[in-house]
Amino acid sequence: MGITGRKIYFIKKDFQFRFILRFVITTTVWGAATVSLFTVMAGKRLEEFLYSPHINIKTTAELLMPSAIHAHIISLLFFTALLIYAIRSLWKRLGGPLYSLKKDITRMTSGDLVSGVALRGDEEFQDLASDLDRMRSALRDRFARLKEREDELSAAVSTLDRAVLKGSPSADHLSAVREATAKMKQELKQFMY
Amino acid sequence: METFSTQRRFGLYLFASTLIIVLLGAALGGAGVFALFPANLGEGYVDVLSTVQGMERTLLERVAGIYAVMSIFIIGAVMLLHLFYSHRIAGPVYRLGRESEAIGQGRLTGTLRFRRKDSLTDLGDSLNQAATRYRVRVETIKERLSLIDRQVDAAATLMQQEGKAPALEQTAGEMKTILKNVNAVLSEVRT
Repeated sequence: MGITGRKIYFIKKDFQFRFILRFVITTTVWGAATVSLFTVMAGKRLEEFLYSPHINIKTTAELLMPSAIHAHIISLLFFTALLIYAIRSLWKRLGGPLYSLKKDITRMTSGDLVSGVALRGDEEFQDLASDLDRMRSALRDRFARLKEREDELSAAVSTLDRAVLKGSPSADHLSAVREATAKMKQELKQFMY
Repeated sequence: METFSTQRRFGLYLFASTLIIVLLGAALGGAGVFALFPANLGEGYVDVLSTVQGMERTLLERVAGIYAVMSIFIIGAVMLLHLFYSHRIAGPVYRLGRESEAIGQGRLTGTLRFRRKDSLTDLGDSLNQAATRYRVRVETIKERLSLIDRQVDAAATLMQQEGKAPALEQTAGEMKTILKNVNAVLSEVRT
């Protein structure tokens, strides 16, 4: 299912900015938490070491590695929880409006072109909702015109039918039907497939 | 919770790839911190104490410094990664918008296709169904109008002949029946 002409990656700037920002904030919080935890834990370790009566450590790794490992494990667990929350909340934020739009499309498919397509003000995909509403509105106009033409054709056919029953059909009656049919066909030419 | 169609495991890949970036960043950040301090604490009690006191004084600034630098790379990588992931949703949304514009202009092809890794394929299918359904309605009306044209031609021929009144009545009746079908199709659409 290949398509061409879609190579711009930053295509829906607002949406993508909010999408990315969520994870940038999560990562920044993790970074700050790691620095704070590591500084506190390593600081305590150094403090304990300085007041320790026995000094049996030779390297920095021996001195700070336990603090580093603990700080990183705790901060990564925190980050994992934060990331799961960020993804779940993102899914929830995207799922609602998309479900609503899908229902709107299904409604339009069944023939309802009266009810508008709209999302709540704070929901994502407002642009798509507007596009779909414009589609609904344009289709409604086209079908409203078709119905008008159908009324005209219906009137012409009824007139012909009455004339036939009275025994006085004329070429004018047939021309009226032909003209009404042609107008309706012209309206249908607006559709392409 | 309402869901939307994505490539299978989209969320899992998003989670795993973000976590991998941060894990790599954490490992590099940790290594960087150790690289900033002397590997050995020194020989003798005074040397060791002096080194550790020095470490204690500069701990916060060095750790914060190294993680600030690492964070720039991690955040850069996270931004790039999520730009690609967000595009798998934003791309289809963009195409859905363009397709709905095309349908509004009367192009009822119903041939919207997404890339293999794209999300929102269910919305694409729904839009294709909408286009197809309206196309079928338009085709049905066109067919019925062609039938009316044929009936008009038949009526014109009958009018030129003597004693064809019953046949003419039948032709007019058929036109009305066909028109009822057209009306039925148009009545499905609420405007």
